[in-house]
Formats: sequence, C-alpha cells, structure tokens
Amino acid sequence: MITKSQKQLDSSFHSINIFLQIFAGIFLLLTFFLSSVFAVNNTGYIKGMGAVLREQPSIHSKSSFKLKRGTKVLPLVSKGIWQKVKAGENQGWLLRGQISKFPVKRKKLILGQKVQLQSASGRRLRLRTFSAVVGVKGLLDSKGKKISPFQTDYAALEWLENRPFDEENSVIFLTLTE
Amino acid sequence: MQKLRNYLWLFVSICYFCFASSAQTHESRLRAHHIFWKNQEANTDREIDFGRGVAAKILGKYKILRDEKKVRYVSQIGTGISAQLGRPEIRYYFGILDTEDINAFAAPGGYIFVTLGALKLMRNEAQLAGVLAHELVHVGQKHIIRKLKLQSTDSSVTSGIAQVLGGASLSAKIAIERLNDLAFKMLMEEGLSKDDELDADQKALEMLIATGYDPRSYLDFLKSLKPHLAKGKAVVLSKTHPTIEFRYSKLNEFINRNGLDKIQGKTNEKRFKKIMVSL
Repeated sequence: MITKSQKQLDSSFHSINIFLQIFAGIFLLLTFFLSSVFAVNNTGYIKGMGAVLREQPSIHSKSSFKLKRGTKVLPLVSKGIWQKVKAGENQGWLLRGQISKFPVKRKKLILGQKVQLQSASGRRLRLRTFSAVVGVKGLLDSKGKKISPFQTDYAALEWLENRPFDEENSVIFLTLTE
Repeated sequence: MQKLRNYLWLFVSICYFCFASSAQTHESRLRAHHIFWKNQEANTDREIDFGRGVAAKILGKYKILRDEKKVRYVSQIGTGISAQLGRPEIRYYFGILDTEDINAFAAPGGYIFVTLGALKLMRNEAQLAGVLAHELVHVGQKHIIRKLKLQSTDSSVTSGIAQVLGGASLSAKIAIERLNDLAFKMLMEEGLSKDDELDADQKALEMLIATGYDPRSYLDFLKSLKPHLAKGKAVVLSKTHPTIEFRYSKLNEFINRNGLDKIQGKTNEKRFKKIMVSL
C-alpha cells in the first residue's frame, strides 16, 4: 500500500466536493421546477348571485356575512356537504356547490358565433374539393350512405335557444314561497 | 476555511430553496393557472358545440313541446338553480320533450330536457327542481365527456376535447359526428356509470337544500316512478339508470350520514299545479 500524501488527499476531496455541488445544483433545479408544477392552488370563487357565510355548518344557522359573485375565498375545512372558507377577514360555512374552481366569467352565447359562408366580396365561397362538397351536402361516406343513422332537428333547437332568458328574475322567482 | 466554505454553500442552497418554493413559484403558478384557464375556455367552446349536436339528435328522436308558458316555467326553475349552483361559464337551456316516456336528458354544454311523461308524474315544484338538478350535475361534472374519454381526468395543459374536436376539416367533422352518435347512444341505450348516477342524485339533493326546496320530494318522486317502470312506461330510463330501490337506499344512506333528515323546505305545489293544469 502506498500512503497518499496530504496534497493528493486534498485534491481528491476537492473533486468530490465539486461533484456534490453539481448534484446539489441539479437537485435544487429539479425541486424548483417540480414545486412550480405541483403547486396546489386552493383559491375558489363564489358562483351564482352570491352566497351567505354561516356561523355553523347548518341551513338553520345564523348568517354572518354576505359574499358577492366572484369573490375570492380560501377553503379551510370541509364537513360533509359544507365547506368552511375564509374571505378576507371573515370566516364561515358555505355549501360546497357554491364554490367554483375557476374565476367566474360571462356566459357563452353560441348564437352570436355564426359560421361565415360568404367571401369578402359577398359571393358564396366556391367549394373546391370533393370532400368539401360532400361536407356541405350532409356527410356521406364513399358509398353515398349517410354517416349518422340518427335524425337531427336543428330548427327545434334554435327555437329553444331563442327563448327569453333572465337569470336574475329566475333566481327571484325561485326564492318566492307560497 | 474549507469547512466554512461548505457551510456557506449549504446556507446559500437553503436560501435558494426557500426562494424557489415561495416567490418564484407563485408567479409561475399564476402563469400555469392562466394557461390552464385559457385551455379550459377552448374546451368549453368545443363542449358546447359538441353538446349542441347531441341535443339536435335528441330533438330528432322526440318532438319538442312548443308551449311557451310551460317551457318558460321549467326554464325559470332550471335557470334559477343553475345561476346559483351550476357552472358559471355556461348558459343552460331547458326544454320539454313531447313524449309519454318518463325520462330526462342532459347533453353536454348545458342542454337539458324533461319529458312530458315525467312532468305528468310530478306532484310539486320541488320534484321538478330535483330532476333538473340531477341533470345539471351531469353537465357540471362532465359525466358524458369523461365517459367518452374526451378529456383527461387530470388537469394537464394539453388535454382533451379541444384537441379531438378542434379541427375544421371534413375528417374532423366526421369524427365529431361519430362522437355525437356515441354520446347519443349512451343517453338512449348504455347509460352512464352507476357511480355517476349516484353522484348526480346526491349532488341534486345538495342543490335542493341550498335553494330551499324540500329534499324529501325528490325521494318521493323516485318512489312514485317504481310502478310506472314496471308497466314499461320508462323504457329508456330503466335501461340507462340503476334500479330505483338501489338509488333510493343510497340516497337514504347519504341523508343519514350527513344528518339531513330534519331539513324541511318549500314545495310550491300550487304554483306547479297552476302551470301544469292542462296535462
């Protein structure tokens, strides 16, 4: 056995140290990315026309505070269908169905989005390919059979979509009791 | 000196770790949230387009009832519930199907239908609200889309329905048509999974309690379905849903577990009978 000199030992220790530093760096980078990926976002938002915070998890309990639609809340504890939340400085119980995971946004109306069938000059677009013609004529396969065996009725659907719609009045209508 | 340097390295790494797990992550979390939300929005658009096709097929099978007064009443009850407890980004539509078959349907994207046969069987407004709430849960929890595996259940950024249905080409249209057929068949023949139906029942009960209706009425309605199912008046319902006894017992279990048995609410029987008098 040849005994290593102090210098050799020192240099080997140094090289180990460098490796350790590199691994630690990689580890830290990994934790950084992973922690950003798996970060838990607990924030909830109040749905509907607003919600009442109650003191106890019961429908008969006193209401302590009223929250507006879209208010940010932080869920704390859940108990059955009830959820304790913190909104600003107020704490209280809500029904869990009243909390949305995502920010509350305007409703989507599909009637406004019409498919453009005309070109800019006002003429109907010419269908160039065979498949496009088939597409307009109602989806046939190569043997001329209709692809879907079921009938559709878009006229009735449009009738339904054109019915008047008023959320606020509906909610008031719902709260009326005989 | 060497030792000190090692400790310094440790100190720096700890500082970095704290920094990484607090300030920086908050920002990137917000960015991830934004991307996810944008994707969610695209998903919602596709879901509505897709559901519209399914709804048109339901209306192709059953005729729609064009009775302004009744449709307005049903849609007022449904909108009243969905505005408070439904998905906030969707506009819900409520229609009545002109058929004696007892059933109710929910197409993805917020199209909900009740049959005339079911309305005839109902005794008060709370029962109607219960049935609508059950369908609202199917839309809210995206049961059909989940079962068709159009959306991955996790919240990955590149998920789902927007990818499958996003194309405007003919082949994409054919794919949508096929998927529409699958969803329609699911509504008419196969049905959703047992768990989904029970989930819908329980959450419907929660919605009834939240809106101040009598939750017992929904159970009463389920009970009153039984003789009609035996007579074969609800062929589709008995094919697509678990048995009434099973649903009833599971709901009772849920009520006892959460201590909901003493909750009383409104039934609004007079208002319901006044509108549905000609049935």
